[in-house]
Amino acid sequence: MSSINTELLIAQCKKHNTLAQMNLYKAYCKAMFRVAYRITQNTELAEDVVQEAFLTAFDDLHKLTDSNSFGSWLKRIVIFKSINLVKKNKKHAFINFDEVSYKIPEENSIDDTSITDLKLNEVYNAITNLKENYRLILTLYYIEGFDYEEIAEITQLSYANCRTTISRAKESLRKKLTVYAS
Amino acid sequence: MHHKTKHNPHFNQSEIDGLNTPEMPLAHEYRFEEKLNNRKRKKFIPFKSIAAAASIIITLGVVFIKKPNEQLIEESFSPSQEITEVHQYYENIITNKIAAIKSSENDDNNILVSDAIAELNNLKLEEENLLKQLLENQNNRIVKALLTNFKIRIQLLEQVSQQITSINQLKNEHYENHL
Repeated sequence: MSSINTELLIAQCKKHNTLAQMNLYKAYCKAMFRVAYRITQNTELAEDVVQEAFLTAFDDLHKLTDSNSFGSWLKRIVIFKSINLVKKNKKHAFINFDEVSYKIPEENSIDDTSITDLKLNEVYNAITNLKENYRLILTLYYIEGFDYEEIAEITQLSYANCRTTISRAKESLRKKLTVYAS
Repeated sequence: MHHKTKHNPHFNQSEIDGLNTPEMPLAHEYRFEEKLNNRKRKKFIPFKSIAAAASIIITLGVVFIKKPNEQLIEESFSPSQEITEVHQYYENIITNKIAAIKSSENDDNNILVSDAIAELNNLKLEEENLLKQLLENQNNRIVKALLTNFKIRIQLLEQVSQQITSINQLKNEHYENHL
């Protein structure tokens, strides 16, 4: 979608124009659905999350200062809502995030290039088979492309804790990938 | 709030978009439109005002069914004030809908929109005519005609906004959804 079109649509949406809201939904729903599905792994939940995210976005549209960043702004809302839903559904799995809090972060124990040289499909499949908290954190890192700081904000972990978890998740991913390779 | 669109440092975005994820469930757009409308209805037309409008219409009916020999009572009842309220209620709905359609007017739908506006103006003239008649002769049939006039205008506006949506939909179909 061209940026001028998006800008016009967003201006109309700020005036609560239903047609414009539907058109903005149609323009972004598929991309947002993919993001929500990768986190929730369920089509019905992903649809709900996406629609709720749009409703929240329409309410908060006045907070968006730059229409050009609408896509990434909306994506964040989708991710927050998806993570919250997964958290709510699988409380125990997610609590594991805190178990590693006292450990000192291991500095770049895994080289990213050794993982990103592989085919995306392979990496994604391996990630979806990891345990829940590793799956979520590596989806945010490799697939959604967030950095440590952003992931710490999204998962509400401390920066150090976030680094450690990612580092361990990578270790676990590497083991999965070498099992596949052999 | 500034969230610049960043590129994924690990993998190519188009490859990520191509990852095997299912299609959105059927009729998701319809469900979203429902959610959107439900929320708007809650926000802008609370149930109370619907009930109020309904009671006004019922009162109107009762007032005009009365026999002419009760004219004295009717005068003190002042049905014209109630008509004004009903009138105001529908007029608001219609004005809002016209504003919505005008704001989504573009090169693809301007013929549709201007035709609709012309037709609405005709109906508006008819309504003014009916109101004049009603002042001269307080007749139940004129009240019914007036309500029908409002109904037709609202239906017309709804049809036009649906058509605008489908025109936009056709146009937007080729937009690729990517971030």
